[in-house]
Amino acid sequence: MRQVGQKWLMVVRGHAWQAVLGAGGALAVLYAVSSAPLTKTIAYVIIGALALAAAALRPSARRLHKGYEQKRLHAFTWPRFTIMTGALAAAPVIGIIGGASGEPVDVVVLGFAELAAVAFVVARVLDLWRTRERAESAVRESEARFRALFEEAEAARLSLAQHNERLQQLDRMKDEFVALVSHDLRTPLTSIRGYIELLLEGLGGDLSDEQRKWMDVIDRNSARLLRLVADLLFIAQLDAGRISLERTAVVLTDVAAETVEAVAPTAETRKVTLALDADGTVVLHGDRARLGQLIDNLVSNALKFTPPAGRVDVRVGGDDATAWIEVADTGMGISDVDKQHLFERFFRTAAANSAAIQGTGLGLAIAKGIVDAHGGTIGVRSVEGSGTTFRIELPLRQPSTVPTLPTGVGA
Amino acid sequence: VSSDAPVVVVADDDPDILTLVELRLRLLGCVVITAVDGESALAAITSNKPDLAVLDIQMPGLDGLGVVDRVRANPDTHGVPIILLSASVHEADVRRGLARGADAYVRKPFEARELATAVEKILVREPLGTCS
Repeated sequence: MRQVGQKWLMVVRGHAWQAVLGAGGALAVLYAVSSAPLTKTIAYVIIGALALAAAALRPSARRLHKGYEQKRLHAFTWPRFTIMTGALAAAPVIGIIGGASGEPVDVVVLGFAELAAVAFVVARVLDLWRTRERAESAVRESEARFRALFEEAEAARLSLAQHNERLQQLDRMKDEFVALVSHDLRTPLTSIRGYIELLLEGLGGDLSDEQRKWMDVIDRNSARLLRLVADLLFIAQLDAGRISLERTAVVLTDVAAETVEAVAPTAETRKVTLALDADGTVVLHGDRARLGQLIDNLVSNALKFTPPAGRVDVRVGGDDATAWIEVADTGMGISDVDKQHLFERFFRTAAANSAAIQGTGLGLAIAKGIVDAHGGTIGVRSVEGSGTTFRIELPLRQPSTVPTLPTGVGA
Repeated sequence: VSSDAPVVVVADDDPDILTLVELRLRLLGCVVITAVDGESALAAITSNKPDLAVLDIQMPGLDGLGVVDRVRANPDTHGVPIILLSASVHEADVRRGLARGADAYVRKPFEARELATAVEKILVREPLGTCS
């Protein structure tokens, strides 16, 4: 809508009419008419003044002024004429109407002047109307585009919701799968372990040394398999955020003592000194079985990675708010690179692999899961070649904002 | 087996586990009646009024929990102690079983000692005498 255009009206009987449409928004039209003969100088002055006024009001009207100077000067060389000019005075100026005649102007000329002025107005109104149309169609277009975008977004939202639902469904399927596999693995393991136990008790007859030794191998490995099944289930529950803690007042020092006692034979076999430093009584509001599993995981790990003649120290302590457990070994240590991934599931250090130390890489992930569920922290200090210390800190009480999950039965 | 030996109904749809539990209970001195599903376990409990029932939870048809319900609903058998056996990882199954009136729960795989402890605990408080 910058400019409707320029319109020249060349009019009858030697009278020259000029109509120029500028840009802008005003609808007011003025025209000046003189029926009296004017001198050439006065005609110049009036036309020029109007053009200058228009130019002052609106920069684009300067071109009109120029147009006058260049094109119409000779039109005023006649001895007698009448100036007719109309400037659209209201700001912003949209144009000037000018006219010159060699004779006194009559009513017809005045009529043309009127017509020219009206033509301005009509052109202007048409222009505004078209502008409005364009604006409206632009709005309609915008609306359509907005609606399309909105529909697109809505479709994306729907697809996301469907995707989400599908993911949840897959998650449920995974849970069900893990539960089913877990159940289906435990059922044959029940028979395997049950009948091995019968045989080892001698209920199937006396065993030769070799038979006993081999039965022990089966026993140990079926126990490993069972442990793996339990670990996988635990990891799946961690994934689903469904670790259920059976919280009671737990004497952490007792749990540590029991765990250390249970792994003492392993330490002895490996010729590793296992010591417990747990003076006093540290009582914690937590899940006894899980805390036992946590300490067992760390101590078993420490024993696995400590060579014969080494040491594993378990220390338990606490203050008013926090209980802590430290498991320190004199084993091979953990490199800085490995430390970053230590608590990731299935992660095995390169050293563990090259030393062919058995493990699934789930122990520390599970330990972290148990610590997290209790609202605590677990950290590690290690020097390669000289040993590793794990430190766990657990709040004695849960913050009240953490809901206590429904308790489970069994381990 | 003496005439006052406790009578135990054992139900499991896995025949190997059924035999294992039967063997263990016999070693404890019990008279064992076996059942391979819930329906026959219920029938055995109803007709024998045993001193104890050891029931697997997951069985086709009427499952262990269903048997607990029926046994408890029947005035003739509602006092029969029940131990549930389960390889389930759904803690809820076990809680439901105990809530419905089972007396104890033994998780599979179990060690002989765990089963014996659960069984003895129940039979000791029975007037009929103990297994071992």
